[in-house]
Amino acid sequence: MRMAILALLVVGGCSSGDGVSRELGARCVTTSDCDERCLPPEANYPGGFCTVSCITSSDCPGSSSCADREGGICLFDCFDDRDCTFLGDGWTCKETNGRDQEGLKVKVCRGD
Amino acid sequence: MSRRLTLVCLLVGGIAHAEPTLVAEADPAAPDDPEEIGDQAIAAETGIAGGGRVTPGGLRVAGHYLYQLSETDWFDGTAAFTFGGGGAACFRDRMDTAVCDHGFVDGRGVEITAAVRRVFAPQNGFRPFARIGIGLALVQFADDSVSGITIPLHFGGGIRARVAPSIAVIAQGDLMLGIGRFGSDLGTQRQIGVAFTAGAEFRLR
Repeated sequence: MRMAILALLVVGGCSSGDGVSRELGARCVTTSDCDERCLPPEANYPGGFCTVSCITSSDCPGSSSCADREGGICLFDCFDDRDCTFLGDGWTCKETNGRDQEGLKVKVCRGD
Repeated sequence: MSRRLTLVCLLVGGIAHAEPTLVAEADPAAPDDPEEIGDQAIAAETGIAGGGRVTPGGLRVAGHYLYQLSETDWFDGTAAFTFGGGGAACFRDRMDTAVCDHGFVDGRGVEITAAVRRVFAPQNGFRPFARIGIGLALVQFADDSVSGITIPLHFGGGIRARVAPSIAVIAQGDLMLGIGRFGSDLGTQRQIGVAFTAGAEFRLR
């Protein structure tokens, strides 16, 4: 029994994700691939990107901010391009207009 | 001669000394209560199962058929149904791999299991038991149109208390580890789950 519990802990502990979910970050083609909204594959969102609409960053999941694009969408926060490599080729860290305050910029992962 | 006699005396003495110990050790694992006539039983249990990802969880309802194999071991054939909730939780990650992230009590499943239950000596009116088995299950996560067939191994145990000549109440916990084959590009996935159930057992005369 002790071995079984240990196995459960080990196997369970190996399954940490990268923060990608149906809510934010998953690849998508249509809305049905996401919880709320799909940004279909194009230069701005290579591979497609599941996201949620937002008015401020408080509407966004952790580690993401509300960017003033597509009417307000949540994108992953970043400090530099290395923080965006998990999203695949074509994603880089860019300064973008935020929605929290007028003129406030946020650094988020996006394509071109 | 004297040395040989001493050796024989020691051996015989040792065996004579050991015999009561053997009897005393065997006694706790003695057969079930003699009042419980019959070598077969059926049981019904309900409880909760927990899974996650592609292992279903939710309300667990199980029926058992038990057949006595020996003084301490019983064959335990089980049909179990799991009724969980949850919505769509499968997606394609950034590597374009299909991933499901269902919750602890999501999905549905039906499973048949062949197990062996080993019964131990009574303790304060309760009779503990251990259980190990293998199953075959069909699982489904309807909102994702994901279904699969799984082969789980079961490791568990519980307690049993007789409340009437042929009726006992049982409570048990079960750890399930296995693999499954799923559609929707998920391929082979591991199964990890737990279940806690309680119910009644009826001896067949």
